[in-house]
Amino acid sequence: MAEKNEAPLIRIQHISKVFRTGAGDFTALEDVNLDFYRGEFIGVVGKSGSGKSTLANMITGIDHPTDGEIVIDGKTVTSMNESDMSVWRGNNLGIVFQFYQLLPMLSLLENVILPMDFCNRFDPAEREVRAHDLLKLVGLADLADKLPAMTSGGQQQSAAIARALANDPPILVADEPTGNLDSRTAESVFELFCQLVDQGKTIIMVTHDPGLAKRTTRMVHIRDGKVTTEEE
Amino acid sequence: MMLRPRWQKVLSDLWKNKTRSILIIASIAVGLLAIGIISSLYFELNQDMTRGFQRINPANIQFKTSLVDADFIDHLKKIEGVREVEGARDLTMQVKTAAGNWNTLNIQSKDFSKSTINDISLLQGTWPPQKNQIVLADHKLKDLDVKLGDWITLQNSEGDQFQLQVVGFIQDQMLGTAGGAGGFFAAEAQGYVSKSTLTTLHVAGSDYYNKIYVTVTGDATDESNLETIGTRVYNDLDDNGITIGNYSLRSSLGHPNIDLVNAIVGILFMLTFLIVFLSGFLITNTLQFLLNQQMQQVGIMKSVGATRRQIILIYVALISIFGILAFFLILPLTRMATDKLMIFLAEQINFTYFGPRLNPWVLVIQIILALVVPLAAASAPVLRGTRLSVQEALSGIQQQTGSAEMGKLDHLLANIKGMSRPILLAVRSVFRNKGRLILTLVTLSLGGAGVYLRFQCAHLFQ
Repeated sequence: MAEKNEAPLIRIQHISKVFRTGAGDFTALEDVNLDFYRGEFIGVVGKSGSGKSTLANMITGIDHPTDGEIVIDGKTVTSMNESDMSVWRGNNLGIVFQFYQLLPMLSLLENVILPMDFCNRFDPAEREVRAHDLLKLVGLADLADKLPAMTSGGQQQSAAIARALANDPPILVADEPTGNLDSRTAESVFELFCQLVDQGKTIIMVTHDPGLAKRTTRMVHIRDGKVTTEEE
Repeated sequence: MMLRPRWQKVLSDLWKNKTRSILIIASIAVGLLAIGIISSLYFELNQDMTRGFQRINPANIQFKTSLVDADFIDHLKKIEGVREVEGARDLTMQVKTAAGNWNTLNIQSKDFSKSTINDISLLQGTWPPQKNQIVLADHKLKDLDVKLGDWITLQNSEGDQFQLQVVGFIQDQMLGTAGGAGGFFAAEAQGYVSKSTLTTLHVAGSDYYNKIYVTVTGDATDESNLETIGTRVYNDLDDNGITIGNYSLRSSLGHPNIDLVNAIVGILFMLTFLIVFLSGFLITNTLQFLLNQQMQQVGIMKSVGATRRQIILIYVALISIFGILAFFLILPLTRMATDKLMIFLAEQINFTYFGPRLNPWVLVIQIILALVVPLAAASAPVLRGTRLSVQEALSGIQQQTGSAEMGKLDHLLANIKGMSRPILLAVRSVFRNKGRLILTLVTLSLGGAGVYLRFQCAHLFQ
């Protein structure tokens, strides 16, 4: 469980994000300040276009803020360059996307091995064993050699979760992980997240489903790029 | 142990979209094949023309003179620097073609059985010709339209007609050597008869010679050596009151057509470089297409921890494999095309082709180009594609960093009126990506220039 007497694992300070478009500037986030603690299961909720996915992208470093800084486990990630960020992200953050984002030409097993391969984590012989274990954890032991296109959406999302766990990161950021799944599969994915939190992972889950978010340990509401309320 | 996933991706990219892979390999192969054929031609033409010409023991000095006898030929052998001397009798007659026209035929006669200078290669039939027989050079045979065993009709300047039987066809690399550059192409059809046949042809003084061939001692490829000995022989002829009509020097390695061939190969090299550039643009276009298709995959790889360097290496590996496959594809094609061209050229420009061979320099050039050209052509799309942020790569939308204002051309296009919507769509699409437009125009221009040059070369050959 989260221990708020400790320093926050993730500190978001005065984060703003402005997108420049042909039609003019669009402010997606405005002066967002948040602290997330180790072992928390945070649900970030808001309507479509509220800025919740942009916030997730700032935390994962796949997009950069216009202003402000994010410190994760003592590291100011907003000042890193793209390549350093990739390496840091591969080792410290697992990302789960709404549309799974598996490489279509690789089997589920190979997709799970990929982060270990890029980050050079674990002994090469150990990687395959670990990937099998992770696929077993998410219930895909029998589908390891299948290509993503040969599996269902739920199975692909489970494989994406296994991939996110490949380098054993302390933090998982999931952007609408159940948004493309039926309710039964969504429930099993959520259950899996609960298990991971119990094992000590910190999970930030972006969702537009307040019902799902209510079941997390902490809920952050975002509206028009601003944090409106926080509930525990 | 299983293959690392990143290399598995390379193999899958190669194998799973075969049409795209074939297109890229073909784009690379076009340039490689062109450079391979032209380089092979350059090396093999020079090797074979030099080697083949040296083998016939060509005359280094030749004179067209007034009539001299065999004793005078023996006398010339004593001049310092002269190694061998042979006399021959050249004459010109008319020959009746199958179509009934009269063509000019140059005839040469000498004691072929004892001849050591200007060896010929027998292509068909028998050699040397006996009385009332003639052997024809394969040069301009088509004009005469004769077969082995045919009897041809010759006519001298007095209008007397004679029948000789064609008993052989030969290749004579000395054809046109006295006529300077291009002499071979201007030379008339050539026949060879025995000294006894000269009597049949009513040639007065058939024991006399009007052509003198000389080979030299020392370095037969050294122009100053040839010049010195040539001047000595010339002065001797002059001192003895012999009229000299024509005098020429030739290195033992100097096939009469080699300069012409090198000039044409030079033009072909330019054409080849155009093709290599064209191939480079094709590769750039195709790889840009591949990178656009894989933009999302680049984003996924970055999101799971891949550095830009690792992703660049994946594409470098993929492109290198394309290059290597193209190299192996064009190896036999280069050999086959070069072989066919060499056989064709040997007949057209009168040299002996010594057959297919492996040319290490050509292989080195092709291997370097197979690896360097695709990588150079791919560098821009690969560097651009891998520079995108994860967000841009995953969404496929690049964030605007500069001004969003339209340029003059965009304003002009936006204000076009009076066209149907599909036409407007087509016109604006053409100018939407100006870099792509320039690349396409350059590719088409180079292609056009290549076709134009190809026809110019064909015209030049004719």
